[in-house]
Amino acid sequence: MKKFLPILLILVLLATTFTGCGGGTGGEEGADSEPFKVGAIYPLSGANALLGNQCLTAVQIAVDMVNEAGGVHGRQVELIEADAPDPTVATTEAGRLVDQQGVEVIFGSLASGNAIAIAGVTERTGVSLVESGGVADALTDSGFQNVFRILDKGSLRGATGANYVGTELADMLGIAPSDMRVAIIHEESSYGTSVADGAEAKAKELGLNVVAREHYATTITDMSALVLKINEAKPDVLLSVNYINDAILLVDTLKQYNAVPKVFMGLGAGTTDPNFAATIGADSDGFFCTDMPTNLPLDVFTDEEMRATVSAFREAFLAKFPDLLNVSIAAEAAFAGAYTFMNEILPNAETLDPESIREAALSTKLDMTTLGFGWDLGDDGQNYAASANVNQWQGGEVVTIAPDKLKNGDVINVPLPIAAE
Amino acid sequence: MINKILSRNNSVLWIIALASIIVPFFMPNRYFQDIIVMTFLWAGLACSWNLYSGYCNRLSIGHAAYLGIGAYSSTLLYINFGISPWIGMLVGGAISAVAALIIGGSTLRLKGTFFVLSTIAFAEILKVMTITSKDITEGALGVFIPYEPSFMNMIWASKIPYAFLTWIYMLVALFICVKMEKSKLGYSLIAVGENQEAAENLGVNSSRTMLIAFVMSAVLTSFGGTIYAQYIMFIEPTSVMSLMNSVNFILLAITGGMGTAFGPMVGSFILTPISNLLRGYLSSVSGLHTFVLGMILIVILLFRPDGILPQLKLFFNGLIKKSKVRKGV
Amino acid sequence: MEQILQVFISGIFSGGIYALVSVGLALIFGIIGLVNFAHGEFLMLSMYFAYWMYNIIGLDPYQSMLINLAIMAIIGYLTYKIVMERVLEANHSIQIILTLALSMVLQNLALMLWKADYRSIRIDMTTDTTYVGFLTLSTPRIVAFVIAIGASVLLYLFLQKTYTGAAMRAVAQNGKAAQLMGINLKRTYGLAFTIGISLVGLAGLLLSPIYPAFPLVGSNFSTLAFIVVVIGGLTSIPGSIMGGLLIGVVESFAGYFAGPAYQQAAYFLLFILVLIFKPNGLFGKS
Repeated sequence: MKKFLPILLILVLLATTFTGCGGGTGGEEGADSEPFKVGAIYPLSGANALLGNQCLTAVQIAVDMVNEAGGVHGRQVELIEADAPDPTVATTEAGRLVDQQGVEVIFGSLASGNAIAIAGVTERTGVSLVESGGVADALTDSGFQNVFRILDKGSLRGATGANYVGTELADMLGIAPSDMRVAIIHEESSYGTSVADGAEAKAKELGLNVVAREHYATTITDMSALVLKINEAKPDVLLSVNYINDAILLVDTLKQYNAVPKVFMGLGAGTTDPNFAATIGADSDGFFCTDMPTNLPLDVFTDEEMRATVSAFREAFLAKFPDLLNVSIAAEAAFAGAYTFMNEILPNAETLDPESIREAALSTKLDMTTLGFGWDLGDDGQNYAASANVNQWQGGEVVTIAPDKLKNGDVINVPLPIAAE
Repeated sequence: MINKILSRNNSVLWIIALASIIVPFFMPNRYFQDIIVMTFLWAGLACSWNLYSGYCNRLSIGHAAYLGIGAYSSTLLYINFGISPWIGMLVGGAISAVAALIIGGSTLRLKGTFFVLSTIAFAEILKVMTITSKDITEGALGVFIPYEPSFMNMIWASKIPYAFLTWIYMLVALFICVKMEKSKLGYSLIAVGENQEAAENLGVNSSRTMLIAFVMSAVLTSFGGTIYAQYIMFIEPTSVMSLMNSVNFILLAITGGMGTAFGPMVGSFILTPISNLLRGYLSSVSGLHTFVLGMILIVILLFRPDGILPQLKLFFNGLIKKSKVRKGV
Repeated sequence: MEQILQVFISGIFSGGIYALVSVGLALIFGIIGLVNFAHGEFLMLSMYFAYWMYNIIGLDPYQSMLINLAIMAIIGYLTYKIVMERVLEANHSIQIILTLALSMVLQNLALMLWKADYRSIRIDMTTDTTYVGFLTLSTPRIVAFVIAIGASVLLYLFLQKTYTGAAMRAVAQNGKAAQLMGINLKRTYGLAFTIGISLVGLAGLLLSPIYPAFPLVGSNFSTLAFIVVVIGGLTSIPGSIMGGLLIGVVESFAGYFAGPAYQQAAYFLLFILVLIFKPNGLFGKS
C-alpha cells in the first residue's frame, strides 16, 4: 500500500480542490424559466491577470444590474467565467463554455489574441462574441459574422493620437508637419503593435517624420538603453503605447536622462491608467493619453437612467477594488460591452438565436452608451461610432480635449515644462 | 523473463493506445472531444520529446521552438501561398531538421545543465526573431487561419477527424519510440544516457547517436506543431513558443515515466484531461489551477520520480501473475 | 561618446543586481550541485515582503533590510529542508523539473494570495538622480549597485577567509572527502542554500524602490541568473560577479544599438556562444 501512497496523495489533493472550490456559478433554483447563460473569458492568471480580473468584475456587475431589472427576455442571466491566459486556452475554454455549459453570448477578451481564438470557436457555433478589449484590426477584418466590437480598433486609436499630433499640436508647437520629428515606442504584444501600426500609418499619411520606432518586452526592468537610443533621434513628439508598469518606468527614465520630448502622446492602457498620474505626480500635467473615454463626468450622460447606471457601476466596481482611484478603461469598456448588449441589443432581438441577435446588433443604433459614444456597427461588427478621446492629465485628473462634444478643458503645457531643451 | 513481462505489458499499453480512439465517440459534447484531441496531440508531442530527452536523460526545455517552427512554417505557407498544410508539415519538418542539426551539432556535446540552458536560450531567441520579423510572421499580432474546412486544408468542422489525426500522430510517435528502443540506436542512446563515458568506451559514437535522436525528436515535434496550428487556427509567438509549453512536454513525460515509450502517453492521458478540467473548475481563483498542477508535479517528483508508468506495469504484472495462479500454472 | 559611456554605466548598474542574484545561484550550484530554477521566485517573495513592510509598518527597503534578510533566510532554510534535501542525490533532470515545478507553485501562490496587482514602493529616492560629470545616474540604482557588489564581495571573502567558508569550498570540491574530514554535509548544504536564497532576497529588496512586485517578476531573473552563472564559470563567485556585469552591459548596448526588442536575445546569443566555444565560462578556470 505504501507504494500507492503518493498516488493517493494526488487523488486527495484533487478531491479537496474539486469539492473545496465547487464548480461554476450555480443557477438560480426556483426560477421559472431557464437561465440565459453568458460567458466571460478573460486572462485571470498570467501576465494580464490584473486587468483581466477587473474586466471580469465589471461584467459581473453588468449581469447583476441586468438581472435586477428583470433579466434578458424575462430570463435571469447566469454568468460563467473562464480563465484564458493565452489563445490556446481561450480556444478550449470557449469550447467548454459553448459546448458544455451552453452559453449563448461570450463577453471578452482583453487580449486580441484571445479574441481571435475565441472568435474562431464562436463563429462555428453561432455564439456571439461581444468584444470590449482586443483592439487588433484583424478581429473585424476577417469576416466573422458573430463578433461585435464596441470599442475602437487599434489602427483607429493610433491614428486618432497621431492625427491630433500632426494637426492641432503641430500648430501649437509652431512646427510644420513635414518638419515634425515623431518617435514611436510600444510594448511588443499585439495590443501595442496594432495601435502603433495605426499611429505610424497616420503619421506618415500626414507627412510627419517618423524618426524612430522601437518596441520592448513588457518584462523590461531598465529602459535606459531605449531612452538613450530614442533620444539620439531628437524627437519632438513621442507616441507611446504602454501598460501601466512600463509607462511609469518610461516616464521615470525619460526624466532621469532629461529626455522628455516636447509632447508625450500616450496611446492607451498605461498612460490612461488612474495610477499613472498618482505615481508620477505633478510632472504628469500635460501628458496626453488617447484612449477610450474614461472617467467622464456624469453630466456628459444627458439621459438620467444612463447617468444612474454609470454612477452605480463605478460605485460597485470601486467597492471591489478599494485601492483604485478610478475605474480603469478596460473595466469601463468591459462593463459597457456587456451592459449595452444585454440591456439594449438583446431586448431588440426577436428571438435569442444567432441570426436574430446579429440582426439586432447591426440594426440597433444608439446615440450613447456608458462609454461616452454611440453604437453603430458596420457589417464587419466594428462599432464605427467608437472614437478614442484625446485626453490630457491635468492636476491628477483626465481632461478630455477632443472630440469637441466631450471636451471639458483646454490644452495646457505644450510644450511640456519638463521637456529637454 | 523480464523482457517477456515488459513486452506483455507493452501489448496491454498498445491495446490501450489503439482502443483510445473510441473515446471521442462517447464524449457527451464537443468540449470533451476537444480535450481528447489535445490529449492525443500532447501525447504525441511528449513522445516526440521523449525520443531524445527521455532516453538519454538530457532535458530539452526549449522544445516549444520546434512546435513553433512546425506551426509557423505550415501556416505561413498556407496563408501566403495556399500550400496544403500536409505539405507544409513536411516543409516544417525539414526546417526543424536543419535547425536541430545546427543547434544539436553545437550544443549536444555540452554537459547536463549546460545543454538544458542552451535549449532554453535557443527557444527564446527563436521567439524574439519571430516577434521582430513582423513582415514575415506578423510578429506579436499572430497569424489567423481562415476557416475553410477540407481534407487538403487539414481543417474540419467536427472534432472527430481531428481526433483521428492526433491519434494517428500519437501512434506514429509511439511506434517510432518503441522501434527505436529495441534498435541499436536506442540501446546506444540509453547507454549514453546512463553513462556517457562508459558507452563511448564500448564503442558508441555518442555525438552521432544523440544527434540522430535529437533531429528525429525535433522533426516529430514539428509535425505536431502543424497539427496544433491547424486545430487552434491562431498562432502567436508568445503562446506557441512559450516556456509553459516547453515545460508541458517534460511534465507529461515525467508523470508517465521518462525514457519509456509509453510513459509520455500515460502522462498525457492522465494530466491533459485533469489540467483542462481543473482549469474549468478552478477558474474562480486566479492561479489555483497552475498551483495545483505544480504541486502534483512536486509530489510525483519527491515520491515517484520514475513516474506512474512503472507503477502501472507492476500493477499489470500483478494481474498477470494472479491470472497465472488461477490457471494453475 | 558620452552617450556610449552612459549606456555602459547603466548597463553596469543593472549588472550589479544581476550579479547579486547570480552569486546566490552559483553558491547553491557550486556547493550543493543543485540546479535551482525557482531562484527568481525568491526574489519575487522578497520584493513582496519589502512592499508589505513599507506599506504596513512604514519601513523603507533600506530600513527593513535586516528583517527581510532574516525572513528570506528562514524561507530558504525551510525550502531546503522540505523540498531540496530529498533530491540531493537525484539526477539533475529531476532537480531541474522539481525546481521548475516549485517556481510554478510559488508564482501562482503569489497570484492567489496577493493578486496580479503591481505593488510599487515609491520612496523619495526612487526618482532621484545623481550627476557625476556629464553622467546621469539613478540614485536608487547606485545604491543597489554598491550594496549588491558589496554583498557579493563579502560572500567571496566569507568563503575564502572563514572556517565555514573553507568547509563549503571543501564540500564543493569533493563532498565525500570533506565528510571524511569531519564536515557535516547536510548542514553545509543547508547553510549554502540559505545564504544563496538570502542573497537573491537582498537583490529583490534593492530592486523594490525601482520596480514593482508582481507574481511573475522573478521569472526573467531565474533564466538570467543561470546564464550569468554559466558565463561566470558555474561555481566561481568572482566569475558570477563579472558575468553579471557583463550581461548588464551587453543587454544595455544591445538595447541601444539594436533596439530594446533584442535586449534579451542578445545575452541569450552571447550565452550560446560561450557554451559552444568556452563552456567553462569566460571567467572560470579553464
